[in-house]
Amino acid sequence: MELLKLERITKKYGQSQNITALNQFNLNVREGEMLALMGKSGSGKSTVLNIISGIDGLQKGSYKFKNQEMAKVKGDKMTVFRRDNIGFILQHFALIQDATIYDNIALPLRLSRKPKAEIKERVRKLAAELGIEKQLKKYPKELSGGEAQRAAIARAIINQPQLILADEPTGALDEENSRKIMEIFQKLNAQGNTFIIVTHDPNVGAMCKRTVHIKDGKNYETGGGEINA
Amino acid sequence: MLKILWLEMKNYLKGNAAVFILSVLAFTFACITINLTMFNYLQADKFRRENEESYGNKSFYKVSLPPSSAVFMRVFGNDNRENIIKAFEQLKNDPLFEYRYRQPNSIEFFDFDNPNFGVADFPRYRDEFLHGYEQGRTEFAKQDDYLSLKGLYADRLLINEPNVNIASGRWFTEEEFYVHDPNDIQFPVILGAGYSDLYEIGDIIEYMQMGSVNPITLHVIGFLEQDGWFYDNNNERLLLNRYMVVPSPEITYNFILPDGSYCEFARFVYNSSIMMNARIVADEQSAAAAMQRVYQIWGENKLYEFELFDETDGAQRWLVMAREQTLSNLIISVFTLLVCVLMFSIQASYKLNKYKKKYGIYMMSGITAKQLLALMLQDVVLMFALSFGLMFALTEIYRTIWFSNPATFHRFDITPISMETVVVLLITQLLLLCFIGITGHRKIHKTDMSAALREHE
Repeated sequence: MELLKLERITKKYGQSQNITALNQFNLNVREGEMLALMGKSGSGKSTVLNIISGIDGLQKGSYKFKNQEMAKVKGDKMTVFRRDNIGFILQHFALIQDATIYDNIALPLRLSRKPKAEIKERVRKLAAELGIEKQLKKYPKELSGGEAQRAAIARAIINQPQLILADEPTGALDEENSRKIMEIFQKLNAQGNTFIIVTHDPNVGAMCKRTVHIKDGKNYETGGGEINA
Repeated sequence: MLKILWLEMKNYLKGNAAVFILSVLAFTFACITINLTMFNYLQADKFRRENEESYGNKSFYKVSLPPSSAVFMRVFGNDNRENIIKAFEQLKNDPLFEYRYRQPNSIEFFDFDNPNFGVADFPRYRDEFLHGYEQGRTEFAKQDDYLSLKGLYADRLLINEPNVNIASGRWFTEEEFYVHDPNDIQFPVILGAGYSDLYEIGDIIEYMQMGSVNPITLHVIGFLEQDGWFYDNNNERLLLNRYMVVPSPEITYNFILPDGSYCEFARFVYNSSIMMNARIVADEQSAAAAMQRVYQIWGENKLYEFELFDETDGAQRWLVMAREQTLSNLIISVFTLLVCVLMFSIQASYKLNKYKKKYGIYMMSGITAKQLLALMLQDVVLMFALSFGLMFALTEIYRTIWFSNPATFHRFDITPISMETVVVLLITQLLLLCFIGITGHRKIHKTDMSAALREHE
């Protein structure tokens, strides 16, 4: 079943809108997919994630999530949509440095005003699943890169979102930790989570079920002749 | 959300304690200057209204003497009493101006040290005290062994005051202003509305003292309307609810008694108050002539030391001074507020730059606009609350002076924090919060959160 559909998306930046980030870009993602979005720096990969998450608006085109048009959803409605449906994982983990790992993971639940007992139970359970239960009282700077990224994954999935957006999730990790993180992703994907992973790394791309290439904000055909849309 | 706010506040204060304390002090100073401005503004407005109401289009003069005890002794000494009486008679009867010589003064009713004025004669003295004073000072009076009530020695013109009206009974007759025999003194009394449930018309109040003469009997002849008042010679409203109003008496007999001594009652009647507490009121067009005439009367009666000063002119100057003070305080307030606004702007920009990644993480995690606003403004709200509290505390300390015994302190009615000040401060704080909120909101929208989130710590 189709989870999201981007059609002829155009996004321009700059005061006179002279920088084109996306140009007539298309993307279909089905539920349960694990998709790698690949391209060079500045090709528009992160802009796609920002548009899907609603952090950025689009100027032209259509964005449907579960057949609901999202292009005109703004403000707190978009915030609630993001909180309930999307989890974010970033290259440099984006953890709050002056909060403990527990507080970082609990953040989306607290913003959703979940009861204290439920927050405690869910955070501890998830931390145990990801092998960071002993790090909960620590601060991000006290963790290794792999542990920090697992904490970031925990925060991204604590609200049980349908879609997880990962922007270069292994970019700051060594090979061993990269593999471990991708294994976690595969496990979560097997449990039903949909992934869109922005990456430069062909190894990461290879571990995904499908790869979409983007160049200069447009869909780009690979050498194999695969249409990436 | 409260947990997030608490964590944020804790971390902010940990990292920015010095800036926060400085901000609290700066805004406290701004609050104090705003309070001073408001106080002066309200005072100036009060002066203006009182001046308009009290003076209207008339000129008021007050009497002064050089501050010398020798001069005072000569002018009000027994040897000069006759001149004082003559001058008083002339001033009172002159058609060029009104001579107002009403004197608020305490009236004593008994004295434990004096066997003639025992408490046994005042079985209701506790009631009388409760009626005579707003706060009811019965126990205090018992310790002091005398009964003293608020009295007003009224001139004939008092009843012409627009806010002095008789509720029941009557005003004094001309004859009642005169005493013919020092051994038989009886006065009519008109009581303030506060006494209306204690006395009735026709009641007799015995043993009033006047100076050190024998007991005087008061006959209740009327009651004043509730909340009657007039402007006294300090141009302050004198509320008459708790006053006993008796005629300011004059004597028709010789103040030198047959045995050659001075009559004590006459000494009391023609004391310095009838001159020094008097106000001379003239129409604007006859003010100069009235002034000239008053000096002429004093000259004729060898009262050369007396001087007139223009109360209306003084009040106007006082008003101008109050307005100037308001303006200078306003300038300081505006300047201080501008400094605060500048500080807040720098602080807001600094915070957004420093914490933009953190705000990005909150946005990524699904923080709503209201929650984000609360997060951005919470330290400012705390700073406002602390400044507000500190201003109240400092103002209270400033208004209170402790004497040598710390248990006894005195509160002065200077620069109190009025409701108007509180409203102005709350509006100022609200405007500043809006300013910071809007600035922060715009800045966040201009920030490339995507780039901020990708930043490496």
